[in-house]
Order: sequence, then structure tokens, then C-alpha cells
Amino acid sequence: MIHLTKSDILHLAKLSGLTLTEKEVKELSYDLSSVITFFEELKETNTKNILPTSQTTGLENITRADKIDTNQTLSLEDVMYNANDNKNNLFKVPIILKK
Amino acid sequence: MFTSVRTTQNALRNKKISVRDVVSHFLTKINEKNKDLNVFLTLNEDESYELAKKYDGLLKENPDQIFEKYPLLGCIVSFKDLFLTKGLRTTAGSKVLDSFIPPYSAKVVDKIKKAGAIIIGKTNCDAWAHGASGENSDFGPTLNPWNKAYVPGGSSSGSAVSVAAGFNHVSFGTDTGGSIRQPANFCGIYGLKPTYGSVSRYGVIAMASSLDTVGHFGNNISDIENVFKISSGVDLCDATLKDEDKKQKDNITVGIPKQYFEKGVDQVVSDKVHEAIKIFEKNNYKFKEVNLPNTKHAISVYYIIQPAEVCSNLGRYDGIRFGNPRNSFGAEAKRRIILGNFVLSSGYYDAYYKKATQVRTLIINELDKAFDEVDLLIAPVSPSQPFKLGEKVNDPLKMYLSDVLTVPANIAGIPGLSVPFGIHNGLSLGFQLMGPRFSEKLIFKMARDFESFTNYKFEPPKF
Repeated sequence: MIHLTKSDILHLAKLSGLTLTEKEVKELSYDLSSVITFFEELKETNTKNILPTSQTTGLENITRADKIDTNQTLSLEDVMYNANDNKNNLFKVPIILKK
Repeated sequence: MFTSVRTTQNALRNKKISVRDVVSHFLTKINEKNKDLNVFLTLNEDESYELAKKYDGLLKENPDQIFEKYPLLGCIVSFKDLFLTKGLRTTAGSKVLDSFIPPYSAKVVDKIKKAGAIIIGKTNCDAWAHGASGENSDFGPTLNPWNKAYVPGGSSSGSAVSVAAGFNHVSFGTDTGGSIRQPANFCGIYGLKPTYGSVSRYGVIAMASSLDTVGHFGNNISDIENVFKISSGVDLCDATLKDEDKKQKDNITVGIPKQYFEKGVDQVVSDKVHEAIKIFEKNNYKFKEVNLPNTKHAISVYYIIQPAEVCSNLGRYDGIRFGNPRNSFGAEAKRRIILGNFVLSSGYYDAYYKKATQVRTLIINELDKAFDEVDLLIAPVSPSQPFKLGEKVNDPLKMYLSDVLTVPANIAGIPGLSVPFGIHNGLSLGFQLMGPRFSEKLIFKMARDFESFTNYKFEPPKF
């Protein structure tokens, strides 16, 4: 049985940009440990020299002309409409650097 | 008159009804019954009546050619709340987006509207399409119209129920690991998960980008087929799209993958698939057992690759440009983000993520080989009939395992169709047909044949 500890969960939460309650940490540690333990069954498969698959279309390098399509362009008003906090058409973001 | 798109269009042609009558028929039913089932999160009443007025005018002016220009005229549709609809709230079933008003529409929304369909509303779903029961919606679960103590399946829960309950003709959903086929199966209707890369996903809130597909629900195969014809095709916005059509043939050989009938699949479910096979055999369909031993690894592969892609796609929700802050994510989204970051994190990447992408190759190769021998596959959709609300909600692993028969199609990018077939203990049963990439037409043919072999007529649930 693989066990994700409280500090594992807290580390992953930090990577994920999530804040968790004490109760959530406990539940996640329990639930995810059982899910990850289930994954152990993959070890029995032989994947030597098998290429990984990241997509199934077989398409490569799909491009289009590098031209502005005005039908696909949003107005400034539309772009700002859903922002919780904005000023002079700028998004207000939380401070991440402190003096 | 309102059951299928075809019967509605015939009634419009014969001037028995107006488009306004069609809209009002469905909206009246929704307004009366939606609260019992919790299907719609947002209704689009004003625009629906406005468009009805426009189409009624056009019908009067030019009744003969109008259906050529608007092949879906009179068709009332809804969209899972994962599809962006300009000016109409889109939540993804999550509190993070509870008041988000999209500034543009998904390509498929535009396409369907341009074909004359009227969008009546946005349907409930598991938040971010994470779930197999509809219970993960931050707006409360949708209930199964056959028996309200049971789940309707998920994640496209509201879309499936909207069609089963007769709230609209057709509803669009997304299928990343079974989210169309399984709720269709649980609600007694058709549900199509097309080939990966056949329907544009531009403007559809992404869950797991190498697995996500856009498809739809209907109560008869002809509606499914016609809507697919209109919704599929290349645009310049989703770079994974491809126009391809597999060659048609008359004598179809169908594979029965024995691993899809093994332990864990309820007797009543597999018996029903075998009953369908007998009907096909009586009508000259040939069947052959095929061996897909790597099917047993599909759940692990899926629940590694999918959360890895989920954690990346949900990274964009920062509550700054739109939506609420990340602490508004519900329990299941948090679980998948954390799991995704675990399988991708250094030290674990090779053992989990890389391994899963390699086993994905094995699963694809095995299916390709099977399709050298047979044209299509027939299998159960879900290992069980619908389960009760609350039955699996506290056991994520148990919930994940119920996707075992649907995830292989997503892993391989192949199409699958849920076909309804019979009722047991008041709840629906059915089977799925799968085929090689871009074999939709062959799947439709087999499903159409089944409709005629069984004299299929949609019998709606009483709720």
C-alpha cells in the first residue's frame, strides 16, 4: 500500500495553488493513497521499447495563416467584463512580492 | 409531434404547428417539471421565442426551401454547461464560474444555431465534467427520471435527462471517459461519443485534452445521425480536427470482446447485450469473439492521464480575469488536481505518467489489431444499472471503477454509441457499439438496423 502523507498532500496542494482544510488533507491522503495503490497493477505490463502515446489523431503541425481574424477578436469591454477587479482596463492582481 | 426532429419538422411543413408552438411546448414542460429533476441551470427563454418568431416568418415566406438552408429548423437543443454560449451564463457545474458570462460561443454552438436549431438552455453536469453520477455538480445532483432515488449517470447528467424527460429533442454533452455513453445508458436514450478529432472543441471548457470529445444525446438514431453530420468537420480553431470517412460496407462482422463481459459486470447487463446479439444474428449479422487483454489496465491508464491533463487545464482558473478564486473548487476537482500533480511530479513521472502513456499505446495497438478482424465491437456500457444517489459518492475509487467499459474508447480515440434496449426493475438497459476511428456511419447503420429489427419506439419515463 502506497501512502501519501500529510506533508505529501500539502506539498502537492502548494504546487496546485490550492489551500486545503485539515479535514481535506486527511481525506485526500486516504482517498488518493488507495487510488495510487490501485495503479500498481500497471507494473505487470511489459512496456519495454513501447513508445508513449500523447495524442490519437496522427496529425502534425496544423497551422493557419498568421492573420488577424476580426470575427475572432474580442473587444476590450468584452475581455474585462468578467473580471472581479479592474481599473483603467487593467486586471488587478494580488501582490506576490513584498518589500 | 414533438418526439423527434423529423416528426416536428413534418408538422411544421404541414402547418399543423408553428415554431413558437414547439418552443412553448418544451418550455412549458421545463417550467413545470425541471424542479423535480434539476436538469437546467440556465434557461434561454427570450432568445428562444425571438428565434421562433424569426423562423415562423421565414416559414411563411418560403416554406419549400427553408429546410435546405436551416436543416435543424424546429429542433430544440440544450448544451451541457461546459459549452461557452455568448451572453448566456456558463458555469461548468462549478461555483468557480457561477456568474461567468462568456464573450464568445463554442464553434459547435454557432454551427448548430446556424443550422436553425434553437438553444433552450444550459444543462447541469458534474463540475468540470468530473464524475459518473451527476452528484459532483456544485448546483445539486440531477435525478434519474425513471426513478428519482437513482443517479442519471454523468458527467453529462442534465443533458441525458433533458432528452429522456422530453425537455428538448437533442442535447450536447462531452465524453472524456464515458460522460455521454454512460448517462445515455442510465436514462434509456442514445448517446454518441464521436471519433476524437471529428467535432470541434473550440469554446468547450477543457477537461483532459487528449481524451475530450463533443457529442450528443437523442431518442432516435436518425436525430443522432443528422446532428452529427452538422456538428462535425474541420474548422481553423481546433487543431485536432480531421475530415475523414471510413468506407461503407454491407456485411458487418461484429466483435464480442470477452473482457467486457467478465467479473464485475452484472448478469442482467451482460444478458441484455447477448439478447441484442441474438436479434442481430437472426438478421444475418456475423459475430466473433475477440481478445482485448489490456482492457483491464484501462482504468489505471485513464485515471493517470486524465488527472494529469485536468490539473494543467484547471491551472488557468485564477479568479483574476474571470471566475472566482481557486478556493471555490469542489472536492472532486481538488482531488483530481492533486492527483494530476502527483503523477507528473518529479520522481513519480516515469512510474506513473510515462508508464500510462506507454500502456495507452498497447491498448490502442490491441484495438487496431481487433479491427483488422472485425468491423465493429459490441459491449455493455456500464458494469451495472444505475446506482442509488449517495451509493458511491464517498468512495472515489469505486466511482472511478464504474468507467471501466467506456474509457478504452477515449484512450484510443475511437467512436462509441450507447443504444437503449429494454427496462429491468424500472431502470434502463442497453449496449454500446464501437468502431475504428471515423467509422460513425457504420455504427449508425448497425443501430438503424437494430431500430427496425426491434420496431423501436421511444417510450419516455413517467416521473
